[in-house]
Amino acid sequence: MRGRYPGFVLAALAGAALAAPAAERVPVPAGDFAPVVAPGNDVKTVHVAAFELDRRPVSNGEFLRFATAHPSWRKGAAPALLADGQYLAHWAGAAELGAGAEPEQPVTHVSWFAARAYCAAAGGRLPTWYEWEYAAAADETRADARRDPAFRERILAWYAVPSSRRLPPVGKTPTNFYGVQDLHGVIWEWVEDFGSLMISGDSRTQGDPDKLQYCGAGALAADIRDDYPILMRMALLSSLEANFTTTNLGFRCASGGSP
Amino acid sequence: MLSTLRTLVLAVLVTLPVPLLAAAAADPADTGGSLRGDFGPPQGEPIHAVLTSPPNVPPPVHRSRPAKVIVDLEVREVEKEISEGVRYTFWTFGGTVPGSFIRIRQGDTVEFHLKNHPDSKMPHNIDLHGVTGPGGGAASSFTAPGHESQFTFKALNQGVYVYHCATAPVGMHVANGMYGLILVEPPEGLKPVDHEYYVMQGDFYTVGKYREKGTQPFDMQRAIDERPTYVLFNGSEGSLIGDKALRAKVGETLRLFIGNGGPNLVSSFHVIGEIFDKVWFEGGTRFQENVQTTLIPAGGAAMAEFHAEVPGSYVLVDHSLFRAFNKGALGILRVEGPENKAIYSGKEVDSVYLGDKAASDQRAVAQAASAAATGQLTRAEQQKAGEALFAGTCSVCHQPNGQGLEGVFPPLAKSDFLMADLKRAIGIVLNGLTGPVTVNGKAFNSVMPPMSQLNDDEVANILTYVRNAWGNQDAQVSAAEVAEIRQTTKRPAGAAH
Amino acid sequence: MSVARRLRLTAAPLAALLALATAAGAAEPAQVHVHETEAPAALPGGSLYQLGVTLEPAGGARVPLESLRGGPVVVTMFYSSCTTVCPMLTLAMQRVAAALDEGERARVRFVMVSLDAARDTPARLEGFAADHHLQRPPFIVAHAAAADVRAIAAALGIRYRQLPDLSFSHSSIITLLDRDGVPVTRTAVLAADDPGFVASVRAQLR
Repeated sequence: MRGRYPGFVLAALAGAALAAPAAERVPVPAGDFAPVVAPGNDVKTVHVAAFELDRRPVSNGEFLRFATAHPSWRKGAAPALLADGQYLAHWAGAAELGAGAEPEQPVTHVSWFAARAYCAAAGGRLPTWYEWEYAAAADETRADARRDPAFRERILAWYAVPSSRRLPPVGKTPTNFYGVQDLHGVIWEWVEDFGSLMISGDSRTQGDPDKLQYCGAGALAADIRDDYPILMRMALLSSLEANFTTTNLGFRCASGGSP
Repeated sequence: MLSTLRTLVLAVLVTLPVPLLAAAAADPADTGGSLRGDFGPPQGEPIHAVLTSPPNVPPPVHRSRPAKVIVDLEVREVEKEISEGVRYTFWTFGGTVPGSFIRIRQGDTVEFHLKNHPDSKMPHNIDLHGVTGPGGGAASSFTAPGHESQFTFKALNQGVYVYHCATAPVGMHVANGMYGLILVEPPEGLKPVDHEYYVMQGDFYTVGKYREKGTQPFDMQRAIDERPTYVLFNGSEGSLIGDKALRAKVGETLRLFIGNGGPNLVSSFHVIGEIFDKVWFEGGTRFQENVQTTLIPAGGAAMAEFHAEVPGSYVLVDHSLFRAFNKGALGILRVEGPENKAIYSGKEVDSVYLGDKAASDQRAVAQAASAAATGQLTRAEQQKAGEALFAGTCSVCHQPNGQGLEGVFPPLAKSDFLMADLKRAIGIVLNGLTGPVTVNGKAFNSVMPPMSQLNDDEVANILTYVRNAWGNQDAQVSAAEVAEIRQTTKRPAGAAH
Repeated sequence: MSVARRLRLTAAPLAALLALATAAGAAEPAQVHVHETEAPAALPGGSLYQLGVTLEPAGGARVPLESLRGGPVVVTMFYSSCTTVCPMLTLAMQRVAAALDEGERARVRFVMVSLDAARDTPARLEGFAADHHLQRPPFIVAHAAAADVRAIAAALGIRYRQLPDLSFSHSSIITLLDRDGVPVTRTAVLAADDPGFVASVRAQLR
């Protein structure tokens, strides 16, 4: 089932600086999903309720409009608890992007708190880990291409490209089965429950949870023998704290569903 | 009665020392491991460790007391050459493969700072095999891009230890070059030598074939199948060759710290023309003497000492030979000084032994590759590249002047057989030729092995060279023509594709 | 987390607190600190109160997290139906409280926020607090909305996930905040006393 445009259009915001940026969100149908990391209690699949997901990540231009309308999120204004010292480091100033940040490039150097604030202002929220992975399992023609080695190779190839290359503008990669773009090959993306990826700092101890450190089922035992892109996404997200910002980390928003 | 007493006395005299001897035998001299490795709290001012890039080693510690040593190590993801004309994205400790060499003393307290450059895409951490503690430090050093982690450990055991990144997928991080060595000196230090060098072997996995030009991505499936494209010392094919060869003078003593980062292969480390007087196998405390080839496990290390007696080029290899000659596991130690005919009287080892491409200057080959990429490859460029390749691969049989060997190997100079049919010539280079041929009126009946391990560019360059040398005259041969013959002819059994 | 709410709080914390103090009415004033002297300075950048989230304590009305400002706070996260580590977590909190004398204890708040927003209603938490004989004050056992729970956990570095059987896997950390809400130290020691942690609490009272 192909995703289709919802009825509303992107707002022209040149003059209306105070308007919340309108997202172009695509409906993702409900489905059962076998995440690579099992939910626990011997359950192997999760049911993902139908939700809407931004077609592409939030751009520098969109985030600038948000920060202008919400001054506590301007570059330099966010407190240390909510964003570290590199918040929007690639922007020239609080009110201008400058040469190092084009309006159409995905916004990076944003913390989890900043991403959440943006999505709340845009009438949405961050997607959950399962929602994001569910949408990202798709390639151009199939809902779940994770078993295809060629699909994995394409994603792994992105990791081979050094970070010094310029970020492409949003919306340039092929549309996937759900009508969503840029889930692979552009940036890492925040999810609402990144903190639930409880991988210990030493990724080799997966089968050896420290029961006192993690109440309950313990650190995630990831049975990922060959889905390296997912493993790498989990590794990156679990290395972060909520106020961290990095050169390659941005986000997109979601709405609806049952987060 | 007296005789019984005497027997009794004798028995006592004989048996008395036995318990003492037994005690001595039951407790041979050993370093006591970690139980005896804690020399107490650090003394004096904290020291900032001097870290060096390979193949150099930091100076000896020269301390008699335990100290606090601060190590600042930065992780950087760097794109650079793995072989001439071939680029690869390495993940490195300190910008090099292997990473910086760390040198401390047993009993030191190390305050370890791991920084992950902001441009890194991946989180990284470090597991030092010399650390006693969970994950070797990996659990405490998991660092997001643009951040820094710190942890402290005491080095309880002496030895030469590997360190590497342990972030999932670990094999991929190691395959991309994230390993190095940390030397924990014994408390009395190491004996002084004239030179200390740092060499570390690793296996590399690329989507393209060996020496296929361009930027090559990592190939996960090849890594799982343990089929490396390159097996290299110090992360690149030219790292210890030419002006980057290791150097020493006749009469000097050398110490090599040799590591094996893996991720998969075990190394059979050998220096052609030298014998290791001592090898501290596995980087431990005991040494073996008079060793030709030493096994270094993946994730392990060794220390070797030897003397330079005779000048010449000594080749460091992994003695699993196809790795040395077809995957790049080769380095040079150049020893300069007066000859010593009493020890070795023959001519130098180089040019005959190094039968394959390794010894020749590959710069022309790289130049041709980049010209081919822009579509502007000239005949002169092809000829230069072909000449370098011919010297490394074909000249052994067909001779440097193309004359061949009377009755054995046909000539290429002014050869009617060669010039008559280009397609046939390409086919012979790729598929070999067995059986009778007539060249310039002379009969030959020999075996030419297939050279299909050469890629299309290389075959095109070699044929352009030979068909324009020594009185031959022709046009350029293109890689596309070679590719067509490769496609349309069958490779003999056992030949590379 | 609503940006508007955050702006209001940073603008006039004192006014908000006074309003709440009167609005709380018969509800115990446990969640409002006795203020020392003059108007509070600007909130430090590292303060947990920058979150602008709301707590719903057992047996009390909703209050902003920032209402805790003014004295040291020992905070952790748990859930009431947890049977493995949380009992020890609760015990550890009680032991820290018991290590202080009465006067000290009165000036500290021991806050336990439930991870289980769906099932740990304030009423259920009231039962939990009674079962564990938690004196309120200084204890505060509170419910928070799911989104706020995420924010508090993220700021405290606590990782958690809910399993299909509705139990939670979570890290167990007790954090000490100074009187402005800035984290000072934390402990994961549950099986025994952590004298270093208690000493840090005392240091915050000076």
